[in-house]
Amino acid sequence: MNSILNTYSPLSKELYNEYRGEVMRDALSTQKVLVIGAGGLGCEILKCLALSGIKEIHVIDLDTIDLTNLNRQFLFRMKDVGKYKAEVAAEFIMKRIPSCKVIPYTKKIQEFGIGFYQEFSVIIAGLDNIEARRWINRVVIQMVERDENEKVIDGSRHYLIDGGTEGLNGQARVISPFESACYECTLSQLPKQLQYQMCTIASTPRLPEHCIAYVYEVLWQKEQPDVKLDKDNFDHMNWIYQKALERAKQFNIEGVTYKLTLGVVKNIIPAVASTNALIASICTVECIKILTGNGSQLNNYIQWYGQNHQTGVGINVIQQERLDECTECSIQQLQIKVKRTDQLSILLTLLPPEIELYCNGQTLITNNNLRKQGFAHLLVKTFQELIESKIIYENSVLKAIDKNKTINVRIQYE
Amino acid sequence: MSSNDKYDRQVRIWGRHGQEKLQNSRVLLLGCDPVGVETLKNLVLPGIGYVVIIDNKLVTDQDVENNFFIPYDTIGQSRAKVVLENLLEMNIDVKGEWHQIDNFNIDGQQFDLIIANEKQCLETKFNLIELQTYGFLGRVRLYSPSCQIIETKPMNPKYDLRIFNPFQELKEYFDSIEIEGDVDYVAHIPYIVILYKALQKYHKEKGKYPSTFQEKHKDFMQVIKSLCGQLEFQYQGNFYEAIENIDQAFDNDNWKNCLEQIEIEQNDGEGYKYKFSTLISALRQFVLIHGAPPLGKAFPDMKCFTQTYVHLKNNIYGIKVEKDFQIFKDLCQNKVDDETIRLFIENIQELKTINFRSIQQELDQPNQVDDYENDCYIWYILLRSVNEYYRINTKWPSQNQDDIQQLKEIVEIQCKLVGVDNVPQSYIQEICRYEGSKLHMIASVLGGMASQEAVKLITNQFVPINNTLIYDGLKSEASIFEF
Repeated sequence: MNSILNTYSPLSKELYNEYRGEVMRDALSTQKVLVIGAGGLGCEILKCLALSGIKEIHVIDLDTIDLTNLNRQFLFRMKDVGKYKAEVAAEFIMKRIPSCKVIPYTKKIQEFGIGFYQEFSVIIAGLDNIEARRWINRVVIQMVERDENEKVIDGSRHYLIDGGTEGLNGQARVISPFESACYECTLSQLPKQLQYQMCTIASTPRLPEHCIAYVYEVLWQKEQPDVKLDKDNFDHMNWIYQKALERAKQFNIEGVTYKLTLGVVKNIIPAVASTNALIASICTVECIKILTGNGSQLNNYIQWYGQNHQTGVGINVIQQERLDECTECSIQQLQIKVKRTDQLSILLTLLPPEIELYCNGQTLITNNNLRKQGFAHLLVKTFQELIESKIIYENSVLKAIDKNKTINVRIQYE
Repeated sequence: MSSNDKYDRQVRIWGRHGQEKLQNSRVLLLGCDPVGVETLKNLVLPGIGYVVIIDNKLVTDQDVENNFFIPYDTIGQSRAKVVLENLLEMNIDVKGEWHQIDNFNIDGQQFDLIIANEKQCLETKFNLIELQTYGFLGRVRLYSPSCQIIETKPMNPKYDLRIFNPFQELKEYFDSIEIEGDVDYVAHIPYIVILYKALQKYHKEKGKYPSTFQEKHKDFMQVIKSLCGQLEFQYQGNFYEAIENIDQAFDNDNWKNCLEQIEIEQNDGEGYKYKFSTLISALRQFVLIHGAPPLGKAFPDMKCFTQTYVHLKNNIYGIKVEKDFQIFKDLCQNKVDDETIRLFIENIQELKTINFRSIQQELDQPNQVDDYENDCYIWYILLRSVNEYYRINTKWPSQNQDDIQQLKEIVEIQCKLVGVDNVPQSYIQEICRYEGSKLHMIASVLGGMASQEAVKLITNQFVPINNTLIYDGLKSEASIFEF
């Protein structure tokens, strides 16, 4: 990588050619990158970043290692089952590449304040669920700061690179907030989750899946109301399997197996090393290009279909458009200056009347007369107290809703 | 712990039988470039059977920099040995051997796949994947001496439901039902019955079956809608299913195209290839006698009562499936096992064979590409050119003027060969910037792509690319070509 960074590139950005050579190499080795998820994608991303010359990587994952991870999450061994993914992955990378520092966190991403995320110019997400993606997408949007002319302040725009796989298929996207479509803009394009109709599973089951879904969604609650279903507990899963088998027999339906039971109840998505490797590496290539100005950015979404019975592989690069009515990236920004010793109630005079105010989903101020009493105690707290009691974070961006319009409220302390 | 099988997540992709094929296969890696090693990593993890690594070099600083499976404290040791040890450390199920030699005699050996990087391999006896990374660029080239796929696994599989040409028992069943009665009953008539009735009604009214696109999708749809009469909206679920599956109503002859394209190579003996040609011969005979292929077992879900569904699946269709199977089996004359026969019948709608051009053929004269949507074709010409430059100079072209000039001359010749006027100057300059460098991240992208194809060739599942994939990391694009 280093020798390439010396050379003149007619197909790269001006920025690159201006700073190529030592400056660019230094830039690469002083940038910090955040990786969210140390699973199938995460392991690969860590490896690729470390071997591309990144010297400090932070990785967040609260999961522990399961036996079924070992077919693709190549930084983990049998002896690691049960340990934290982030910690084992970090240790492995640092052992193999001692010049690279990897700092693991085993907390939820929601537990970090915006100040934490501001340290990274690029965040790469290898997540397995929509909610976490929406959350981190919101963070990169909220981090964007504007000057008095509403122009984005240099360095406040942080990129989010997001990857995902299913079987032999996968996708990756680059989100540059307020420049390209954000995750929320494209939410309506997500494929619909397969769901069985309640009347089918309850009265006219036809497939083995229907029998399993009935036991999982109806029978468990009915027969074991006091036990919380643990999908990783063999006894629980076996109970569902046995009951589903009984039900299938009663209806003359074949094909209920333990494996299928797990698949239906846990919504297991098939996963394999090859797809993880290619999607994770595409994400890393985008990250390195952002940091060095090489080439041009993926614009802005790539779909990879390794399962294509006509051409073998289907590849689509799509420019997803920003949504005019996006609830995240087309929202207004408001900056408000207060003192740390001011009480929260000062916002009532600084913000439009009848506003609702939230921080990370927690209500701070409400306009609902019935609920007002319940949050009144917050109004008399100072910002310092709110930060100390972790109700808001040092650099939190608050979300205000003013008659169906959403506003980001950034608090600055004098 | 939820499963005691560490391969659970991938067995859900290629099944137990696919996993067994993988675990019984032997792979040869020629050269320890990062791209080859990354590809092999993605085969060792899912549990490939046996790997042989051939490489004559010793570990250098450069290897440590761009190859994850070459640790810093192994400098000076055999690359083949270091790579093998570090790959196998990941998965105790996989065995292998290494050879620190230059030329490896593969005569008398048996491999399910050869992965060649660094050096060209013109072998035509075995499945072959040739790999190259060059700066931000990558190339994957597949070759298979014989590629016949039963399990093509389309994302949206087609069902053979015989609505247009029902076999006798099915026709009797269809005719025994009327679309009338109480709401609950009508709302649970299977959509296949609705489609059949709609065809009958259409024929009665117009004296023919729908044939044009307009007739099939507009006029016919109106007929389906007319069948549900005064049924309230919330009870029309099965009629909507009928409209969603409207194509099922017409003769499903996908298999005809497949069968026409497939040429059988005469060959004796055992193995997959032999079974495949036997099955195709049997299919041709079957079709000749019965006018349709044997019926497959796949039966989609449809809104109806449980008893109706079970009766259709197990009795009406199920008995016919079994009958066809027995007849088909007899035609195979004990040359093919039952399991393969059943698999074959399940997949008759989407069988596929590919005749690969050999790498030598491509070197001599690549197929010309008329329209291309991105830079990948230009990069292909330039990759050919730098390879030719290397063959002459045993070094890669750099950005100095002499190198660029010499490369330009080679590019002109290559352009003529593929019928392109010229390539932009800036692209020549860009490729000279790479000077043969191998970036780990690009190798890792290619390793992912190549190992998907490797699994396809080894398991005979899914359709492999024919025959080249070019990846342009600079612009994040990729294309497939048949060269």
